[in-house]
Amino acid sequence: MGFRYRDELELAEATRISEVVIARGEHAFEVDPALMVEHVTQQPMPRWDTQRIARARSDYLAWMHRHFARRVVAGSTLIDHNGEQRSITIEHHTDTGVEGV
Amino acid sequence: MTLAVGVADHVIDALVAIVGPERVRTDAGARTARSRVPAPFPVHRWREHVPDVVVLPRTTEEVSAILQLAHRERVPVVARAGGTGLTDGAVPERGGILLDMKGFDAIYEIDPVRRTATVGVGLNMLKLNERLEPYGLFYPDDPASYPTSLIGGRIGTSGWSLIGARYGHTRDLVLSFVCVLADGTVVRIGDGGGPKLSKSSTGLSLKHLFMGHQGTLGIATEATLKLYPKPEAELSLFWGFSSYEEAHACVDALAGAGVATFAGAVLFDEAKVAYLRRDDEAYIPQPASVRAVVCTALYGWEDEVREGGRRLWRIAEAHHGRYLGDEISEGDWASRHDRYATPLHGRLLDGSVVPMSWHCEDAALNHPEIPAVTRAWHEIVADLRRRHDAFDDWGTFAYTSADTGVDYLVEIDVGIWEQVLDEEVWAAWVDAKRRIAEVAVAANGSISACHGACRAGDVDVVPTELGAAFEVMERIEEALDPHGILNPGKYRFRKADRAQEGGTDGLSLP
Amino acid sequence: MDLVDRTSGPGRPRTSEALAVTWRNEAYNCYSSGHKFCREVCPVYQVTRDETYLPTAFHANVVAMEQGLIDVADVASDYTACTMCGGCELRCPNTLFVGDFYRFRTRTVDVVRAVRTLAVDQGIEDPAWASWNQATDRDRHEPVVPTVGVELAREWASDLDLPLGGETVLFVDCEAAFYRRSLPRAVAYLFRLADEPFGLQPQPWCCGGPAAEMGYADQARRFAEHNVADWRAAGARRIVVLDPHDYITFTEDYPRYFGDNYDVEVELALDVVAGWLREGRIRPERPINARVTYHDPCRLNKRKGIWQAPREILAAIPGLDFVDVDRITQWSYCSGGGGGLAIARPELTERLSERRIDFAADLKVDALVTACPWAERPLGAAGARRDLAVIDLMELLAIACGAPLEVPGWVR
Repeated sequence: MGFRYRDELELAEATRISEVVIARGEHAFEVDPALMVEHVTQQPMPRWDTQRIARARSDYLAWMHRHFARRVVAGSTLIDHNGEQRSITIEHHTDTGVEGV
Repeated sequence: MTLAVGVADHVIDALVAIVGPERVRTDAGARTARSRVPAPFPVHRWREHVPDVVVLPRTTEEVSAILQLAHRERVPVVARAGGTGLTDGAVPERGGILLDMKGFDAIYEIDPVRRTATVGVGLNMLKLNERLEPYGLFYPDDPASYPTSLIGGRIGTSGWSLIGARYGHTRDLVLSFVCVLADGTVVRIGDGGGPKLSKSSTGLSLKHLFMGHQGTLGIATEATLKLYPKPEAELSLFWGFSSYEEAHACVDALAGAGVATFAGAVLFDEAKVAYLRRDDEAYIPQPASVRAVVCTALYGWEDEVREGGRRLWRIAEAHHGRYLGDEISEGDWASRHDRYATPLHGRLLDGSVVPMSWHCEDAALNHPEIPAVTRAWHEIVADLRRRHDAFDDWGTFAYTSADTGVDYLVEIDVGIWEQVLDEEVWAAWVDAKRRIAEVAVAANGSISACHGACRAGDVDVVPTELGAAFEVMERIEEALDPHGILNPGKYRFRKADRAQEGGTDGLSLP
Repeated sequence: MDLVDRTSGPGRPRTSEALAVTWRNEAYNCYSSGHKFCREVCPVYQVTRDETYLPTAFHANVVAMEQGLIDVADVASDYTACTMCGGCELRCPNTLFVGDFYRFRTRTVDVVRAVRTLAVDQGIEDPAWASWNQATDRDRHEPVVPTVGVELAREWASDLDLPLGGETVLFVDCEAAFYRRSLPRAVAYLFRLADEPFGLQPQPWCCGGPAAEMGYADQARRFAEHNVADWRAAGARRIVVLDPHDYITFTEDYPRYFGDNYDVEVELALDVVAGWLREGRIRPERPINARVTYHDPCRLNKRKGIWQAPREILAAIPGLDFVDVDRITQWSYCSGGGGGLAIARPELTERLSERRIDFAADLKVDALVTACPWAERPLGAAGARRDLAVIDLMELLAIACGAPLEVPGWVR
């Protein structure tokens, strides 16, 4: 639970995700550090700080949803793909007149 | 080190007599802080845009007295609400008095019966909505600057809202406002005379005239706003497309579907998706087959939002849109103000990171013209990058402006490396800006859906876009501000301004 | 250069031009940015509506120095109008959305500190700050009451028979040691209740954090060197703090001063206590029948992301009617007690605390609970005018655990 400075600055190992992105841990994406050498250098950022930022971000997003509406409808709950798919497509052709679909 | 004050001592004394010594500032920090707005700025020419004196009024009476003084003394006055606009509206061109309106941050009245709020122009919409929450009401003017922009600037720029297709834009949401004219006269500008009316046919419609005036026709102090019930439900859906053409067709189908809860749809082009793939955690893991994206948002009661959402879902699927999942759909929409224009997303040609300012184009276009215009824009920016390695192309968005999809705000986001700006690079940028504006006008569009068109480059093309209407605007502006003290130089409404061609007239600065 | 070198190390910039070079990327990352979302989060701005005292101006000034428009003398006094709450730098999208992606975030607190330090280095001093830090240097503690001193620093514990030194040392900041003595007494009570051994520092000096914040870098460093040597001499391996300001000083400043030589574990008392509650090592059994709300101290919530443990503790206290205000909304809340603001601009601190108390009063609560002694004095003063008590979380918990504690303004 306590804070130890040395532990906090240790960087987890990087895995390459793309030409310009690495990851240190699942979904913990970071810019390839090689791109931040010439003009802008990275700041020493202890673990507690990156965690604070990531948690604050998701807290903030939840706050922003609540700010605009009382609840969020999840897109995945809209359509049941098992039964409705074929009839939906046919209905769509009639309703919107989309051609060639 | 001192920055000389180009306004006479007796004017400074008169200002102090109106608002007191603490609210008249000639110190360097107060003045340099109020020179620019977020639009890319010629840092190397900062001095040219420093006001001579900053004044912080708090009442309409003070503003009236200040304008009477300025009118009498022929001193330029530039109003600055948030100073968060993107067209240099609040950037002084001729020094003078910078009237900082942030002190007008009170909520004077919340009227739950008529569903209106009357507020000072220095109030921020997010803060207003926090106060409206207990009443179950909200004010849906939602630009990308929502967490920071102020009511006064929204009037000054005729603001555009991300959910405007459902709720309207600033010009629909502001019912009336108190305005101080160039000679200090105080008038209420609205639709007709009643302060809380949305529609009137009495007399000429002045409200629309003032929407987007960039502080050239008067200075607003207090506004009465139309409020909506806070929505029960929010639904946002993001789809990936393997072809831009299908995405382009899809966004129009969504907009034209006639779904009442539809609040907006956005088209992300291939360049935008490629940009996001570099540095946006939501897009980095997307498969290569996602080349374009369309998103939509709906607000209302849960039952109608679900029904509307299903209808739009079927449309997107018919266009081969692949749902990107709840996490992106919800998270990206909630990030809409924050996520897309970040300085460190700037990349030089070799891929290295530099902090870039954000140019946000905001042409108004019809749907069929979007692909050709954005292609032309990409080529202009590519050409710019070939000549000066100080720019980046962050791709384009196209947002529905209206509930029918008749027109779109089409945006190319250009990164500009302000740390290296000099005359040559700046001139190249202004030239590119001009060409970008010309492309939009040639496609029967408008230079600006919402920021305004006062900036270097844009302002050269304004007479072309407006044709004979430009002269009508000039006559009106001159009639309302005969001494030309309100934000002089903006839009180059007068022949004298156009003759100046961007130089200063020798006022004030060392 | 590492951050502390840039703000207060011996190689720090000594001219406006040098400062502009050193902080160039941080400055432009703000100056070139479109967002300005810090504004409606900045507590000082909420009460002044003055752009001159905004994080955007604080960064723009650095670019203005680079461009030769100003130098530090022109703007030094503007930088006293900041509590260093950290709300701006966390809310900034450059931090909140991409700070972790780039390992580069907005650092308004460091920039303000760097400019303040440059001003002091050039002999440009706010008079109130100058005398405050002179007195601190002379007495080794901040002049929070008329008489302070090293010998008096443990007086709050004179009847508690606590040892000196040992593996765990409880560090008590100046405000708690000399003014709000009910707080360290509450913490001592809880440690005793949990049967957790601890000692006091033999020769405690002020942590030096406030001096660093106000720009007195060399003094701050000297104080740090003394404290660390004293801890070492006392055999301390673990330092427990009850003040969020100390938590920051010991987890951010001291490590950067001493690098690998800094080998202590630092813990926040309320974190330790929250752990005991989870384990059942202490059980609050005396109900406190009051309607309360909680003020997230800036230096816990914004600067460190610590907001859950205090709420866990409140949930464990029987009888409480707790009305919460979420930690995101509280990004714009502040007592105004930090960053030297209360010394240079006490009228601003007063307005900030009044604002915070007004928000609490709107909730019709009996008391505002918080977890920072520096917040409690101005909040308490504002609260008294609105008939609203202000109490520290540790004090409240200690009372609920049976402590015979006298807390100013709290009626049992």
